[in-house]
Amino acid sequence: MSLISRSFLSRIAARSPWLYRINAGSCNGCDVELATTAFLPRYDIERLGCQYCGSPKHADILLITGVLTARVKDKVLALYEEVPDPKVTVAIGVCPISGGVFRESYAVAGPFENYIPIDVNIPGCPPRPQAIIEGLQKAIVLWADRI
Amino acid sequence: MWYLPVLLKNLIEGPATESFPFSEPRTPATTRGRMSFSAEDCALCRMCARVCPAGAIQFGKVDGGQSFTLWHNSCVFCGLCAHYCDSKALKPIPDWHLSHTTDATYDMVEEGQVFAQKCGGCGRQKMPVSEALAHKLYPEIEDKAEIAALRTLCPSCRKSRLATRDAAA
Amino acid sequence: MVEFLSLPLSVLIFPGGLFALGLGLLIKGLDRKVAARLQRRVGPPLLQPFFDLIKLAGKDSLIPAEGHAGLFRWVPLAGPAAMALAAAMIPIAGVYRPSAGLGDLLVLFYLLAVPAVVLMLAGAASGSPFGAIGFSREMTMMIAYELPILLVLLSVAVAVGMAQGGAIALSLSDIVAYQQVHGPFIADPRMWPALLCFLFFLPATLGAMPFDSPEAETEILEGPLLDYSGPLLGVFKMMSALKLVVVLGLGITFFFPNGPDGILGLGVFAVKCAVLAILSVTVVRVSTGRMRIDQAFRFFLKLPLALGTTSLVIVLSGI
Repeated sequence: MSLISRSFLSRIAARSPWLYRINAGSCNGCDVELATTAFLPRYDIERLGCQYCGSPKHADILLITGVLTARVKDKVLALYEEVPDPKVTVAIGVCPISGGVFRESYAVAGPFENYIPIDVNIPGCPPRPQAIIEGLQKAIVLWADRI
Repeated sequence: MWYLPVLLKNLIEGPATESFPFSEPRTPATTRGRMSFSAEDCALCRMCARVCPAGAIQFGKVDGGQSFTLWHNSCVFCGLCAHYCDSKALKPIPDWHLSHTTDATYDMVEEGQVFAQKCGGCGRQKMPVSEALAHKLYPEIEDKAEIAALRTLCPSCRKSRLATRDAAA
Repeated sequence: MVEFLSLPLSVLIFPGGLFALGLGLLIKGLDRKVAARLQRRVGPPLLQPFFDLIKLAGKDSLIPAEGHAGLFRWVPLAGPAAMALAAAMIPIAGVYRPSAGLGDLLVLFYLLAVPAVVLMLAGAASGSPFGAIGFSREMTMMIAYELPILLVLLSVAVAVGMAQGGAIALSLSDIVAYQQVHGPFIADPRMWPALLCFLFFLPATLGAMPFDSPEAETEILEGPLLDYSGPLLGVFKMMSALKLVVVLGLGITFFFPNGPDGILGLGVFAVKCAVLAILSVTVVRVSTGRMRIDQAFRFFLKLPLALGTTSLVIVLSGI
C-alpha cells in the first residue's frame, strides 16, 4: 500500500478509538466521572467516535484509575497484555501517577510507571468530565500516530 | 409504549450536549481547580505542608530564603492548604486544564521562592508578612498606613511599636 | 430493470456483498445517530461504522491459547459468506429479481440461522467461560425466535399460494409479484398479527435490546465476541451489517415490497429499510432494558407464537 493511502486510512481509523476502563484499586470517584463523561448527554464522547467496549480485546485506549494495589497488580498486568497493539494508556486522576493520598499505604504496589508505560496523565481528584475529554483528545492524537 | 412521549419530547428539545471540545467550556468562577502560590505573600509558616494529606507540598533551601514546591500530580485539590494559610498565599483558581503527556509529568509544579526581608526597624532578617496576615494579626487596627508600617517590621519591633502606641493612646 | 445478474456478481457486488455491506453499515450509523438524538445527545457521525471497520483492520488479531485456534480463525468467515448469499436472494421490486437457481424461502430461512450458529461456535472456540455462557444463551434465543418466524413465513407463503391456486408459494419473486398486483400485505388485516410477530423477531435476531442477552456487554463481557480482536472482529461486524440488510429486506418482501422501478426504486428500498430499522430496533433499543434470557425465552413462547399462529390459522381457514 502506498504511503498516501496508508495515511488516509490511518486518518479514518483514528476516528474510532474504543475505550476500556481498568479500575486498579480506585476509590471509584474517577470511575463515576468516567461514567458521567460517557453517558450523560452533556458530555457526549460518542461525537468523537469513542465507545466503551466490554472486552479488553476490543480496546484501543486504556483508561486506568486507582493506585495499583498489591492485590490487583498481577491481574492488571495480565489484562494489559490482553489489549492488542497499538494502544494508548491514559491515567485518570492523581492516583495512578503518584498515589494521591494513599501514597504511603502498605497496600500500594507503587506508581504505574514502574510496571506499564503510561502515555497521558489527567490529574484531578477526580478530574472534571471536561478535563477527561481534554486528556482524551491528547490521547486520540497520540493514537492516531500509532494506528 | 409508555416511553414514546418522552422520546418525542427529546427529539423536539434537541441535544443537550455541551459543545466542548469544539468550543470553549463553561467554567463557573468558583470552580476549584489547581492551587496557585504567590511568593510575596508567603510567611513560611509551613502549615500547608503539615496539613496536606497527599504530601504534595515541599519546602527546600535556597540562597537567602526557601523554595516552595507543589506537585499538581499529587495534589488532591482538597483545599486544606488554602484553608489553613493565614497569609492567603495559596488560593485555588479555576484552572482545570491540567492534562498532559507523560514526558511533561515533572513539569506540573507550582513553584515559588520566598526570600527573607530586612526589618525596617532593627535591620535583622524577617519573614514577609502579607496584607491578609497583617489584618488577621491585628483585626482592631483599621488604619491602612499603620498596617503597611507594621508589615515592614520584625516581630520584636512590631511589639515595641504597638506598645508605644498603646502607651501614647 | 436488471434481471438475472450472473450469480457471482449478484452475491459479491449487488445486491449482496458490497451493496448490502454499505447499506447495512449506513443503517447502523443511522441507528446510532437516531438513538443519540432520542436521548438528547449529538451522537457519532453517520459514517462511524465504516470508520470502526477500517480501524479494526489495522489492529492485531490475538488468538487465545485455550481455545481451538483453527475453528477460532476460520468459523467467522462463514457468517458474511452466508449473509452475502442470502442478500442476493432478496428481491427488490422493480430493480432486481433473483435467479431461480439461488433458492427459495426455505433456503433463506436456513441461511438466516447461520450467523447465530457462527456466534455459537465462536463462543465455544474461544475457550473462555464467558464464551460458553454466550453459546448457551445464543442457542436459547435461537430456539425462542425460530418458531415464530417460521409461522410468519408460512402465513405469507400460504396466503400467496392459496390465492394462486396452489398450496404454498415458496418463491420470493412470486410473493413480490402477488403483492404488486393485489396490494401489499401491510394493508391486509389478516397479516397484522404476522407483522407484529415479525417486529418482535427483528430485535431478537439482530441482537438488539431488549433481547441482546447473548452479547450482553456488561454481564458476560460480550459473550462469544470476547476474545476476538482486529480483523476477525471486523468480520463479525460485517456479518452483523449484512444480516441487518437481509432481515430488513425479508420484512419488506413479506409486507410492503411495492415500489417504483429503476434507481428511484433502489432509493425507496433503502428508505424503507431505514424506516423499518428505526421503528423496530432503535426506538425499542432506547426505551427498554435488557430481558434476562429466561424472560426472553418465555416471552417468545407466549406473545409472538400466539400472533404467528393467529395469522396462520386465519390464512389457512381461507377467510
